[in-house]
Amino acid sequence: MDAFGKIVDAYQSRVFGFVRRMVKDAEDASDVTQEVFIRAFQSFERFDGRSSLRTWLFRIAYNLCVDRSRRAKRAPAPTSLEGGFAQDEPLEFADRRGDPQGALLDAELATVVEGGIATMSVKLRTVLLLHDRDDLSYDEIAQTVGVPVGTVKSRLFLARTHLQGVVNAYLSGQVSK
Amino acid sequence: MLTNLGEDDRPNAEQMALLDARLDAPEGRTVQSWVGNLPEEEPSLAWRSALNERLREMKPKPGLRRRLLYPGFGLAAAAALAVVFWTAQLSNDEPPAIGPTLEAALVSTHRDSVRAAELAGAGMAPHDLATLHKSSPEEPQFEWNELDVETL
Repeated sequence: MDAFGKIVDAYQSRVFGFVRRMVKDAEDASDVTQEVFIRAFQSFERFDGRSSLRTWLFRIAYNLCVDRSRRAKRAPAPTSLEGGFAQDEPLEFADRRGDPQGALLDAELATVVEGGIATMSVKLRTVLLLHDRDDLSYDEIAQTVGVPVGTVKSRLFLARTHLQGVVNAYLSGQVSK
Repeated sequence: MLTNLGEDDRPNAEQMALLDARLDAPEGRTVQSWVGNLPEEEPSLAWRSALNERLREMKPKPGLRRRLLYPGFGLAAAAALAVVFWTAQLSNDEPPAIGPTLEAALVSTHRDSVRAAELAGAGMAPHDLATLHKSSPEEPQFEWNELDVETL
């Protein structure tokens, strides 16, 4: 178990961070994250090394999160670009240089970003977190989620576009004050 | 071209090229940096203690085999058994080589500890088992430490 303990040490914060943003609340996230490592321990003998250990753990985490989300019936409507953020318009962000409140706004921006992630569908949120936060490749994400690489890319694009819209709306509100 | 993409759509070749360009564009990288710089989430110590307890409960318990081994002779008998079973398992049930990586070392070490526990219970440590077994040339040994684990 000492060796498996090292695996938990290495991956617990990354898995917990992913799960925390995928399920409803912190208590659920703790339960699901524990379950990830329990399942991994139980099935470790069947791990054949065809995928990386990281991909394998995230696949377990993703499947458990989807199960938990289905049970919680927390499923925002699928996101499309129709009627939403116009992705062909150039994005303009307020210039924060010299802003004495710049440091404070970074924390606020993080809160806005977290809020934007929470309003996405599970499909988009998964790809966004796995790629942009956990640095999985498109192929690894495709293996984890069980969709083609092309679908991974389109979901990532949709997720980023959604988040850009959320942040732009927030910054527009800030600038107009 | 990308306006009508849905969550489950499979983009065509032209859409893929556009997607690659947009995902690698500065705006896409900006969003990537926002998400990448979100604060780390660390489970609590209580969470870790609870997990350790559950994992301990799941470890194979030493059973009748241990109770039958006489103290003083038990370790020697277990060592002999380990050599016999390990040799047999090598020819029949050797898992495929994963490769000389840190992850492979963790996986291999965990498997050794499970096998040691199954053969001799708490009396034999994994390194005792490892010294009895000559590693094949296809399984390079990786000396890893805490710093290596942090790089994962």
